[in-house]
Amino acid sequence: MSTPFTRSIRILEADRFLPSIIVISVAILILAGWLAWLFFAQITLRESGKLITINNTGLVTIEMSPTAAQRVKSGQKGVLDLNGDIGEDLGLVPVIVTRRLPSNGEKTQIEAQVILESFFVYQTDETYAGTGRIDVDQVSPLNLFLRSTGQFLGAPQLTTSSGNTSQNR
Amino acid sequence: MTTQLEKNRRLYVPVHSTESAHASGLAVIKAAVDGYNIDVSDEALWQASGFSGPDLQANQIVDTLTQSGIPNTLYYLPSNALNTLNKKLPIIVRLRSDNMPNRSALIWQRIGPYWQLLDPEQGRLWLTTAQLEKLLFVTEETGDLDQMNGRFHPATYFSYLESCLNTLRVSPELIASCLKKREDEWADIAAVDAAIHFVQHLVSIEGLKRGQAATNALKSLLSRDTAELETVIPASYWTYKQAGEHNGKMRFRGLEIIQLHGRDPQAPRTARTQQRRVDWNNLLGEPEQLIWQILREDGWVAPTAVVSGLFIAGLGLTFEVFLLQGLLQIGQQLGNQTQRIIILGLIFLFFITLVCLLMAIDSIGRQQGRRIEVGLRVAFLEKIPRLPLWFFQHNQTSNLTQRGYTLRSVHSLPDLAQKFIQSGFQILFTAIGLIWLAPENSWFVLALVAFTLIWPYLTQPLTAQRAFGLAQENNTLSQIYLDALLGIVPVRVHNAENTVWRRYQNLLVKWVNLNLSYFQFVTLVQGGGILISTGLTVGIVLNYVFSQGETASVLLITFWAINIPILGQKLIEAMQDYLQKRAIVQMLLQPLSIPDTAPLRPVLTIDTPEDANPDGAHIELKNVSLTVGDVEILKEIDLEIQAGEQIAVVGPSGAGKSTLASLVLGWQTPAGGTILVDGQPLEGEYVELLRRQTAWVDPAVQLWNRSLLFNVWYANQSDVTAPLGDAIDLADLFGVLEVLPEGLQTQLGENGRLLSGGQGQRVRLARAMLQDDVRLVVLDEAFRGLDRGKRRKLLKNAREFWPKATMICITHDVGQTEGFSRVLVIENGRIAEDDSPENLRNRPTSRYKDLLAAEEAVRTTMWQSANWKRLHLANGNLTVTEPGEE
Repeated sequence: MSTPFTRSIRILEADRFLPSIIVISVAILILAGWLAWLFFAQITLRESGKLITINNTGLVTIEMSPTAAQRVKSGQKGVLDLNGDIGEDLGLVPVIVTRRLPSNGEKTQIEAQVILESFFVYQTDETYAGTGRIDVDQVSPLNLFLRSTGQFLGAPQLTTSSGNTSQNR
Repeated sequence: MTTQLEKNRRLYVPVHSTESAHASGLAVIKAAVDGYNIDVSDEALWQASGFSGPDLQANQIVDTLTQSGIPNTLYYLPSNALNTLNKKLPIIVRLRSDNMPNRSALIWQRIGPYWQLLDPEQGRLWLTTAQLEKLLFVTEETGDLDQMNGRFHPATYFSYLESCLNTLRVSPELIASCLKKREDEWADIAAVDAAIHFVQHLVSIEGLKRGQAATNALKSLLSRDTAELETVIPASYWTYKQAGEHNGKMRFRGLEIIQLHGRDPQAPRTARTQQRRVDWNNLLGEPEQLIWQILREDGWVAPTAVVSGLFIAGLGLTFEVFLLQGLLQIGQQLGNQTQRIIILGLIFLFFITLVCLLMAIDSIGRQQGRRIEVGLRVAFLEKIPRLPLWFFQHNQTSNLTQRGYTLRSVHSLPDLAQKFIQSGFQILFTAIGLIWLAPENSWFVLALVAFTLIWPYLTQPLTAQRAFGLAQENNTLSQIYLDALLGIVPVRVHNAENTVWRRYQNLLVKWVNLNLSYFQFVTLVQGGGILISTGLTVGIVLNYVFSQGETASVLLITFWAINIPILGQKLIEAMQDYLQKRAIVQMLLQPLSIPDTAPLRPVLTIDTPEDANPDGAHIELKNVSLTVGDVEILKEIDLEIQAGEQIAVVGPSGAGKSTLASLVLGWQTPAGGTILVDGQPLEGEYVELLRRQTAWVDPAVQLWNRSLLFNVWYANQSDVTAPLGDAIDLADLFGVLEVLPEGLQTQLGENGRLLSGGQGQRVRLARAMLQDDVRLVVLDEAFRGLDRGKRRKLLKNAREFWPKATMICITHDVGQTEGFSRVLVIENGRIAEDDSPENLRNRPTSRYKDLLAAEEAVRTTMWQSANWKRLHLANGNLTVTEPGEE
C-alpha cells in the first residue's frame, strides 16, 4: 500500500520558497521605490509670517523671525492666507517677494506683491489679518531629514570649556 | 633522493571526535590529514587503516599516515620526556581514561605555556604541561632487542637525557660520560636512565641538592653494576629493564610517540568538490558544507533573495533611527498639513515594508531549517540499518537516541546564519553612518568594528572546544538515564540504587563543572568584549564632542556608537549558538560518513539459482573462521547443510552457536574461509536474497510498541492472504489472544512489555510463519521462556510448517534435539561433533552424550530432590505439590 502524497516525505520536498520570495521581491521593490522617493522627490519648504499691511496696489508686508527671513529672497513665490470673508472668497492669494526690509533686531519684514487680478476689486483700505507663506526652497526628502538631524543647516555650534568653536558643515 | 617535506599546517588542530575510545586512532589520523590540508576521503582512510572495530594500534596509525602522505616515526621515550617534545610537534600520544580504554590524541602546537591537542573524546584542548602529563598514558611493552632498537630514537632520547642532566647541574664530565652513545648497550642505557630519574626525584622532593650533591649521587649509582642497581632503584624509575630471566628481552615503560614530519608534497591537496544535489546519504565533512549544499540545491533565487533582503533590512534597520529622529523635527520644516501627512504615511510604509521583508526572510530560514532537520532525520533513520555491527558495539544506544532527539534544534541553523549576516550588515552600515557623520572619528570607528569582528573569531575556537565537550557530556549523562530506566527492576531488586546514584553523581558533577566552566568562559569572553568595546564607544562620543561636532548629531552618534557593540554581542551570541548546533550536526554527520555495509532497500537483480532447490537453501562453510577484536570466536569451521536438511546445534554458552547463525545470515563477515549458499559465495546481493528467504526466530527480534497484529504481520504487509489464523494456531497464540484486552489490536508496550518472555517468543514464531518463500529457518533459542512441553510442541509445529526448508535449530535443550537427524556440538569455536543423535549417543565418549546426561541429571536428580518445595502456578492459582505429583 503506497503512502498518500500528503503524508509522504515528498510533500516536504515539494515545499518551496515561492511565497516568501515574492514577498521579499515586492518588499525590495517598494523599498527601492521608497529610496528613489527619498533621493529624488522634491518637497517645497515654506517660511511663514504674520501679515502686517496690505495696500490697494497689492503690496504686502509680512513679518518673520530674522532666521526665517534670511532664507527669503527676492523673486521667491508664496501665498497669502487672509482671514475673514475675503479669505473665503479668494482662497490662497499668490504673491511674489519683492524685497527684504531691514531688520529691527527681533523681527524682519518682507515685502511682496500680490499677483492675483481678482484681488484688486476689494477695498484694501480695510485692515486685513492673515499669514503669508513664502516658498523658500525645494529639497529632496533625504535633504529634509538631514536638515532635521542637524546636517546642512545653520545649527548652533558646540562649544567646549575652552570656548573654541568650529565651523558648521 | 630525499623529498623536501612541507611543514605548513593549520594553526588550530581540526576537531574530529568520537564517543567511542575505540575509534580514537581514526579520529587523530583524520585530524592530522585535515591539519596538513591533504585531500583523502574518510572512506579511503577507513580502508587504509583496516579499521574494523577495535581501536587502531600504533603501527596501523603509522601505516595509514604514511599512505596518506604524512611521513612519521614511531619511538619510545621516558614518561617525563614531554618537554623534550616541544620541537617535535605534531605528535600522536596515548591518553589514559579512568574507566575506558586508553585513547590516541594528537598534540598539535605549543603556544606559550599551553599545549594545543585534539582529544577525540573531548575535542580541542589547551593544557599546561602539568595537566597534560597527568593525562598521558604510560605504555608498558616487552619485546626483544630488535624491537627496542626499532623504537629507539637516539637523537631525541639523548637530547632528553642531556636536558635532565643540565637541570640537575651535574659536572660536564659526568654529562659527557652519560651521553656517550650506547646504542645496543641496553643494560647501560637502562642503568643511566634509571639513575637519572632516581636522582631527579630526590632533587624534586628536596632530598638532594642540584650540582655537586647530584653529581656525587649519580656517580655513586653509576659505579654499581646493573643487578645491584636494580635492588637500589625501585622499579617505577626504570624506563628500560631486562624482562625476567630472559636476556634477550627488555621491558619498556614510558611514552609511545608517533612524530609527524610534515606533508609529502606528492600528497593531493584539499580541493572539495561541490555536488549539485544534496546526497543526504553521503554527507562527508563539515556542517557548513551541508548548509551550502542545501542552499545550492534550492538554486540561486532563494539565497540571493535572502542576502539581498538582509542587505536592505540591515540598511533599513540602521537608518530607521535617523528617520525617527528626523520625524520629530520634520514638522517644523514643512508648512503644509498635507505634506506632513504624506511624509508620515511614507515613513509608515517604510516600516511596514521592512517588517514584511524581515518576516519573509525569517520564513525562508525556517523552511530551510525544516529541510535540514527532515533531511537529517531521514538520512539518520535510513543509515541505521546500513551501519556496521561494530558501530553499535562501540556506540551506546542512548548516544544514538540522544542524537536523534537533539536533531530538533538543528532547524535553527539557517536562522542563526541570517542573524549573523544581518548583524554584520548592520555593523557595516552603522560604521559608514558614523564615519560620514564624523570623519574625524574614523580610526575609533574602525577600531571598534575590527574589535567587534575579530574578538569572536579569536575566541571562537576556545568557546567551540568547551561547547563540544559539553555536548559530549550531555550524551554521557543521557546514557545513564536510559540505563537506569531500562534496568529499573533489577536495580530495585538488587538494591543497587546507591551504585547507580554514585555513578550518576560522578557524571552530574562532571557535567555541572563543565557547564560552569563553559559559562564562566563565555561570560569572561563577553565581559572582556563589552569592556573594550564600551571604552571605544565612549572614545567616539568624546572625540566628537571635543572636536565641536553638530549638537543635533550627538544623539545619533551616541546611539550608533553604542549600537555597534550591541550588534557585535548579537554576532557573538549567534556564533556561539551556532557552534553548539554545529557540534550537534557534527555528531550526526559522524555515523552518516561511515561507509555502508549494505544498500538500503536494494532492488535485487539476482534470483535463486535455477539449479538450486526451490524449497531449501544449500549451505556450505569451508574453513571459516571469525575474529572479533583479538578474540577468535569461530575456528576452521567446515560444514555442509543440504537443502531441506534440518539440523540442531548444541553446545555450552559462549561456544559460538549464535555466531555461526549470524555468519549464515550475513551479519558477520568471516576473517577467513568461504561461505557458499546454493553454490554462490555469500556476499553482495546474495546476502540480501538469503535474508529475504530466511525465517529467523530469536529473542533478539524486536517486539514493537504496536498492536499484536502489526507485530506478527509487519514483515509481510503486502500479502493480505497470508494464513494469519494458521500462524496464530501453530504458534499457540490463541491463549495469548484471550488474555489480551483488545485481542489482536492490543498494543504490546515497549519491547513487548505486556507479554511474558514465552509469549513474546510465540509472537516471534507467528511472525516468521507469515513470511513468504522461506528456504532457510534459523531458530536461535526460539522457545526460551517456555516450559518443556510447550517447547517440544512448538518445535514440532515449526518443523511441520517448514518441512522442506533448511533448518538450523540452536538450543540449550539437548533432549529436544533427539528428534533431528543431525546434531552439531560446538565447543570453543569449533565443531566438536557432527552426527546423528543416535550415533552420538551410542559412542563410548561423546560431548553430546555428556550434555544429555548432564541435562538429565539436572532434571531427574537435582529437581527431584526432596529438598525442594514445589509450587505450581497455573491460571493464577498457586498450589503446593509433592515430588512425582507434577
